[in-house]
Amino acid sequence: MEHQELWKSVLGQIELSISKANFVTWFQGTAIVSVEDGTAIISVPNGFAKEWLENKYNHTIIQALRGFDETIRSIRCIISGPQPIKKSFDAVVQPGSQATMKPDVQSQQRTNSNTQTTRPAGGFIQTAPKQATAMFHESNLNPRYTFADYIVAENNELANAACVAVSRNLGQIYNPLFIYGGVGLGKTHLLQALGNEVKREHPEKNIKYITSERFTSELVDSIKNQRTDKFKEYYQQMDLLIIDDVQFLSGREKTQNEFFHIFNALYQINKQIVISSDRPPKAIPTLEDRLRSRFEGGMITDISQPNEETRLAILRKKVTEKGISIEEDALRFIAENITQNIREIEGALNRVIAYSEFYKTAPSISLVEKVLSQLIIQNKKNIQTKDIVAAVEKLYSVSEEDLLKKGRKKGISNARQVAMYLMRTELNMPFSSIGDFFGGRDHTTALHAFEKVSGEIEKNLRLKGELSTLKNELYQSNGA
Amino acid sequence: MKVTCTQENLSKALSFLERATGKQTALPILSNFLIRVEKGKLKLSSTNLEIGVTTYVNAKIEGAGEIAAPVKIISNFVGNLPSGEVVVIDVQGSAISLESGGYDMRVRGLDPKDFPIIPEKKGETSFHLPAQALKSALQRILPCVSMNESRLELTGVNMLFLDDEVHIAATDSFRLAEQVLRLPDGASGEGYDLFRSQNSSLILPHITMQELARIISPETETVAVTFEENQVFFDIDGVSVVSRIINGKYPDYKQILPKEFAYAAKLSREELLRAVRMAGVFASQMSGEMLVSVSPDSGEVLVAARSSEVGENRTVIHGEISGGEPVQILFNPRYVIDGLNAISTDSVYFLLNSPSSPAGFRMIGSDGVIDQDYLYIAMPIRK
Repeated sequence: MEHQELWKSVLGQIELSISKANFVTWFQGTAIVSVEDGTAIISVPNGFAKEWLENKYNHTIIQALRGFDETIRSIRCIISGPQPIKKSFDAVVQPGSQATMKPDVQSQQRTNSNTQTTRPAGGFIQTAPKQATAMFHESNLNPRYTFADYIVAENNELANAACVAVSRNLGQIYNPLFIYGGVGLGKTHLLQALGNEVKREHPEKNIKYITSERFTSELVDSIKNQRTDKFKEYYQQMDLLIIDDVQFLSGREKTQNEFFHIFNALYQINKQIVISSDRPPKAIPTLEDRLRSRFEGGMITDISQPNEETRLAILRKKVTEKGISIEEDALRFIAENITQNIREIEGALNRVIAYSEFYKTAPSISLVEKVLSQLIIQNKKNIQTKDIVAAVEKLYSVSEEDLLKKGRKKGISNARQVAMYLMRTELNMPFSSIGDFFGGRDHTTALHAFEKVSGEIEKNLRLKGELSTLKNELYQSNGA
Repeated sequence: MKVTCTQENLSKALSFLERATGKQTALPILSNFLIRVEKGKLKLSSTNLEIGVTTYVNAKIEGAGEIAAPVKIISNFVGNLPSGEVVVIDVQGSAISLESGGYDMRVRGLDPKDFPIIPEKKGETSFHLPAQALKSALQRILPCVSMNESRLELTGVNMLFLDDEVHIAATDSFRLAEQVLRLPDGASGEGYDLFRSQNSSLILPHITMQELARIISPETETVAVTFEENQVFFDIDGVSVVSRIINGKYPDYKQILPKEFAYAAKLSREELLRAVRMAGVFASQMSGEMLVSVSPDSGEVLVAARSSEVGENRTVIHGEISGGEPVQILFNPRYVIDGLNAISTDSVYFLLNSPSSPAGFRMIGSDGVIDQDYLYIAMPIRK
């Protein structure tokens, strides 16, 4: 058993035998580092836990350990050292030029303060929120994501163009920029790339990338410590604020409220806000109207599922990145069969690479088929005949009744054949059942339909396109 | 177990212990301290699992034993006793009674077996730090420590160990203080070099450093530092403090310390502090800013604040100022007040570059020499 698994099981047992407070106090942050000569080495976060585990809980722990590993006779604790936490610090933010301040305001300000003006209040102290500049500022950006690495295709070209434009004119054009699209389609990549680009071009800008989840927990912390003013202060000094997965704010009224104020504060002084979500603002439930209308006030753009060529391009790029060679056929197979999202494609590719390394064989199409068969079946098993019928009905504008009826009207029989083909390829149904399904037709009819469509796919580009649309429709509606 | 000691000794020991107790209610034992008779001595200890404090109190001992006692109640009782009295602590089972003159109290203690075991150092002391210099350094540094737990590394004090200097710094990213602590000859021996080879820098929790500053008395000469198993032990006049280290990487703050300043104003600390405090009253609640205008030609510094809610205020102070054209800069008064409060000399050096770069404060000794070992910098409010 792996150490991690072992320790998890041990903790599970110990948790039952001691009080919750004790468990949390003494066992939080512990792990088994190694097992040597019957001694389990346990890493603990501090000296107190070390003493306590070694002196008070040693019997409990050894007993629990022996339940899984008979050879363990003793334990020893080590205090885990300071591991540099992997965080990217921006080089210190040097306060930049006063780009946002118009010259006339500046001169007016000078006169005001020098001549003890009699103007109404607000003369030299502007009311727009301004804060001391932070010396060290953490943007949360992962430098791995750049625009150069982002594959632009028709499914995301508008979103990409908007991001590039925003990176060149912060707060000037599309503000806020709202990007939505399903899981694993590249929203985060695009957002991070935007942040990285701005950071590269304008290192003095304050940039923050944060998920709405993290935003909420920071807010909760600040409420707990009574530092909400600090929290707001911090966010209001951003030049570019990127909030990822904003749909998680749904239903959190207090967070929405704070976010609303931060949003307004930034928006009013032309600071850029970029937001992503898995659905358009209208479709996020329990989002306060005032927030929704603000999101809708800027630019909204979506990222949709990549088509087959894009998927293939992504695969090629990944393969080059990893420096391995895979047959074009094999790549094509992956691109054809893994249609859901880019993360899945990456996963499938990694799986193929792992297998080929393991078996020491070149990743050929047969290997790929074997390796991915399980993944593909998983994808397919959720689809039912009625989904296929529904998709075909929608695409060819025919009714279910027409499809199941006898009749050889050209449009309908084509649609029917496509439906039969899909039932065979996607559901692996026997021809006889397909025949039965379509109003008790003979199995040879189904076989004929299958052969006809298979034969035509390569020659008939339109049919090929239609099939790919149908497949997308099937898996997309299933995945959502 | 029965022990007899003086009120002063007990009260002093309890004041060290009180800070190192846990506030969390999940583990009630942490709001207790451990009374123990060990090798004929009275040993008191407390911990909040971040730091642990152990001290010995001179006492007359009868019998042996140990008990966990509620620290707040006992330290309040002992603190209110008239000084010069003798306190008798009597422990029978779980009952603790304290008696002194006509005052007495009774309280129930907890099972000492539940009290956390405080780690003890096993090896030799790594090196010694000059106590008084460390204490004044900490007092100047601690106001800058960040309380925001979202950046854990900033909630500690950073110590950078160089050849014969220790650079102590803290920042909350809006202001920063750094003090150079010069090690006396002989302090940086073999132990120090060994220690440095393992840790070129350490981040120590705020509470640990506060506790050190509190324990160092005017008579303390050195603080012994030992590093073992990723924890640090301090020994100060018989009081031992063990502390965890904050994991993380301290920002490379040296980068932003300005190498030189274009403007330098020699001012009375008192006058400047008064002006800034006044400005703080008038600064707007919302932006909380004050304007500092420095005019080298006329040798004047104007501190002004104005808000629509309150009104306005201006103070002009005079000093020797070098630099070019008059310059104006906006500050949060609080950051300037903290910096001036940390300064112990009568005159300060107020240093500036531009309205958008950090401003510095240095101390000027009574002999007119600028103290180059301490620097406080505050970020301006940027437009």
